[in-house]
Amino acid sequence: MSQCSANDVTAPRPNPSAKWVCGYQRAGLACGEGPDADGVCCQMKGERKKAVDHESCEANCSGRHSCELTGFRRQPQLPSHSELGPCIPQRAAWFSRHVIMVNLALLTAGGLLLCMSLPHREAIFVPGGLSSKHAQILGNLLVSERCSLCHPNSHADVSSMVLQDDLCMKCHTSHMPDAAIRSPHDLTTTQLVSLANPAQAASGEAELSRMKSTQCAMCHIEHHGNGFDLTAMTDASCQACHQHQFNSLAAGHPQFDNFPYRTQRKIAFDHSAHEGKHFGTKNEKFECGRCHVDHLQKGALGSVFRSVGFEKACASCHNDSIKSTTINGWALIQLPSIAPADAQADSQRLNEWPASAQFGYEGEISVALRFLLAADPEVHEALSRLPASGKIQDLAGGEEERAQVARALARGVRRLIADVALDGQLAWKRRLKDIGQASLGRDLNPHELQLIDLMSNGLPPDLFRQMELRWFGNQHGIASTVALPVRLVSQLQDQSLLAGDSLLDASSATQDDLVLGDDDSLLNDVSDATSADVSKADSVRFTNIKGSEHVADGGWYLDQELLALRYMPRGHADGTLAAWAEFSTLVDHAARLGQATIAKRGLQHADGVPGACTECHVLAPQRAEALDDFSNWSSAKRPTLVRLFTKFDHTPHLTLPSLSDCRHCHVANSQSVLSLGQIHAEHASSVGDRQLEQAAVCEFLEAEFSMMRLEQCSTCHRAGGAKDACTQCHNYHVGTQGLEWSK
Amino acid sequence: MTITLLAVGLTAQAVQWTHNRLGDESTLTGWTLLASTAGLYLLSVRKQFVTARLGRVSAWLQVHVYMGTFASILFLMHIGWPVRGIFETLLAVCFTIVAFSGIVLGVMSRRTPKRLLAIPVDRRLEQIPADRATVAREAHETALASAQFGEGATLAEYYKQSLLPFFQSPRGVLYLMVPNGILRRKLLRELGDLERYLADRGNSSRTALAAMVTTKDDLDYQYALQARLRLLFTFHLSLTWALAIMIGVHVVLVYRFQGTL
Repeated sequence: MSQCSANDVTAPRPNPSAKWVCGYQRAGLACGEGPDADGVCCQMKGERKKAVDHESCEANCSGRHSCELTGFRRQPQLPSHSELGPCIPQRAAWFSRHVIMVNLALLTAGGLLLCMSLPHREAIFVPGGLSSKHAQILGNLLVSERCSLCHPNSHADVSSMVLQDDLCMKCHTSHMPDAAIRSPHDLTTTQLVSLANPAQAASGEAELSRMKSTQCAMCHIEHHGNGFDLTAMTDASCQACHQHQFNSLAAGHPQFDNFPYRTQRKIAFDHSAHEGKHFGTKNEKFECGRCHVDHLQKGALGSVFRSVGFEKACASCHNDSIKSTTINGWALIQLPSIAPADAQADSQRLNEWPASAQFGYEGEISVALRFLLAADPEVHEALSRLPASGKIQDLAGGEEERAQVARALARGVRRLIADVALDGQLAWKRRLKDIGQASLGRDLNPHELQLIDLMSNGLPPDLFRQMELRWFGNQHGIASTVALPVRLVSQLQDQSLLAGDSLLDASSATQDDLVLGDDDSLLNDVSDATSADVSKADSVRFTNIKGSEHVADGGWYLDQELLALRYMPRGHADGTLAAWAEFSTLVDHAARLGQATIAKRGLQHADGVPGACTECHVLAPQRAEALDDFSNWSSAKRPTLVRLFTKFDHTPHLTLPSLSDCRHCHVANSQSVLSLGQIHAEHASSVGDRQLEQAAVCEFLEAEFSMMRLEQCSTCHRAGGAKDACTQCHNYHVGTQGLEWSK
Repeated sequence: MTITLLAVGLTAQAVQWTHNRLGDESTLTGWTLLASTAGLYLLSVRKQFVTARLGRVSAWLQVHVYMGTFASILFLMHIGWPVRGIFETLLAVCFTIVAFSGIVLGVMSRRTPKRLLAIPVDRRLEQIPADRATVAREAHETALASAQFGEGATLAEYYKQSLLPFFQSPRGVLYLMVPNGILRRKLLRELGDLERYLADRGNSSRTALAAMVTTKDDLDYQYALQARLRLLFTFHLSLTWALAIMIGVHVVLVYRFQGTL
């Protein structure tokens, strides 16, 4: 208890850490003791808790001791004790602040707990709206379900072991099926190394394996609202990983590497020759858009395509010339000619050989017939001795050798016809499959099997039975590689083979009908001809039928005059002819690589498959062998679904007057020495060198245009000009598919 | 302040570096912000230790100001713009209020002492009411005494009409917010105008009352400046615990929804 000060009405000073201060302080009359920690006035505590008798206090106060009115005692002129009323302690300033702080904190905590218990609590705690695409997908879901679709561990029903990227891929797998998750560009470490530095694959892989894995949320930051571009990526982000640092496209970007002609061209088109020679002579304007622009379609590069297709781009000039090359069809099988003496000698087993094919050892063995005969072991020797032209008469040996080859081939053809007559298309396909496997040295892949199907497409076995009957005179001794079934022999002997044969019933010959179209006369003729009562006059009449006219729109027919089985293509893009061409190229390629388990055996043919397909279509067997690339017959198209490293859209560029001429960017290579025509002419003389010709064509196509240079783009795409951000031309998400295509 | 600016610059560089390396700059700024905010609370902790030798509070306050400046700038780096989400917005508003009041408090705490020193009366806030009461009593006695002199009731009448409300009642809220000398000058001018109506003794009382007006106004000025500072301090401090709770919830939510908690 301190003594009162005469000059200081508030003395002694209150304890600064006291929660309560005297109620008389504001009047300058604070007592020295002050209230206790609970805010009870010192006069109200303990034995002094009784009511204060202010008058008595005043009267008895000596003024030497402290009391609640210490100051007042020293200044008797101030209001009296009773006038001030009882002391009501006040909170100290700091304690007032403390109370406010605690109350506000409790209010906040209570408010948050209340919010967490609300059914729509996610709406309160979500840190912002979703981007428009995610909002569209998740908009119809309950709020509580929305969170757990992307956030692992956000709700009890999602395992804490699941990573957020895995949840992302639950929806995004469909367009990134082969993505290597948590790896840059969705590529595996090996693929990345092969891109970065193939020479140092081992060390590079070790280096990359130390690299931190990527996460979707590193770049795609959600909850920035509806208008936020979730795919936006800065150049600096790209350069976070890329070792070669540069400022912009114009300053430091690596020079283009074989851009944009990295993809192999599949159509051999000589732009210069067409512009100067073909269009020039017709006095027509050579417009790029005529063959490359189709405004009705939208591809990966806008409305610009490698080719808008044969019908739109080429047909007007090339349709007639293509038709002319196959006007009489393609003789797949043609009976070779033997000497009459051979037909007389039982030892040669050629007794029933048609008389019209007995004028000496001559005849041409087509490439198709070679494949079919190559499956017959007895013909291997003869085939291997055949010249590249396929003509028996071109055999370098003497008459005896020609006789041996011709007889062997004739017996082979005889067995082939008997086989197909007996087993139908199955025998045809079996032979092709055998020779395919033997040549390639492996089982055929689905594409190659599909080729064989196409090569047999619509082949009518009845034509082979007709050969049996009309060319070989229904004789018993059909020399087949398989034993002739009793049924067929008896039927042949019965001379009523086709009359009672349901196979030739018009209603059952569905496929043949498709092949022959409305021209049923041939089959009818067959029926008539197989009748025992067929007259010689009728034979003459039917022999005069010109099959090529009857199946002008495509199909198989017998050439009775030249004793041949012919195929009439269905104009441009005939599947059967294309399949034969591709199959022969495959076999030829395999033979060159030494993959064949059989010797080459003269499978090459100078003319190959008719139609001049390979003049325009570059057949690249090494690409066709890859299961995912069978598109040799159509121009290369950028896949719209596969994301490549580089993206480009011609459409906005073509709107600029300075770029409307394609030649602004696609500059013809002035260093090209030979034109495409000269290459074809050069290889026309070298028999059986189609592979070399194709290689030369490929070389020409690769060099026809000069590679684009960086400066052609950076003229416009620079700071202050058109955008030059990395993502303007490059995709981040590539994946194996895109990587392979980009290569 | 140089160190603060240096720290801001280094943090900005670190954020940019993290961003360029596809890192999570929000985590970097978030944890730095959390650490610096926690550092701001150290001043309150220091104040609890009155006797312990932990350095001068003024030094701690200086560190608090610098760290608060750093945290405010870091806060802007962390949130991005615009702020979205109800809870996030509340948190940002709370932080902004605390930070802004802190900045204003910092400015005022430097300007107020100078203004206080400019006036002769020097009293603590708690003392001022008592002093005002004393001055009011003295003025009342002086006015009553002047009524007994020959000049009649001129001075007493004026006291009753104009000076009594001034001495007896506190100043308004507007004065608390913007303390000024308008009323003081008005009263002194009016008292001066009474001179022609008073004799020597009356003028003596008038002079005494004028001195008391000046003293009362000085006390009011003192009170306004100190009260304003204390009010702002209360405002600054009252939200800090609420802010701490919201920051805690924010951190838990972030890591919970990232799947790492």
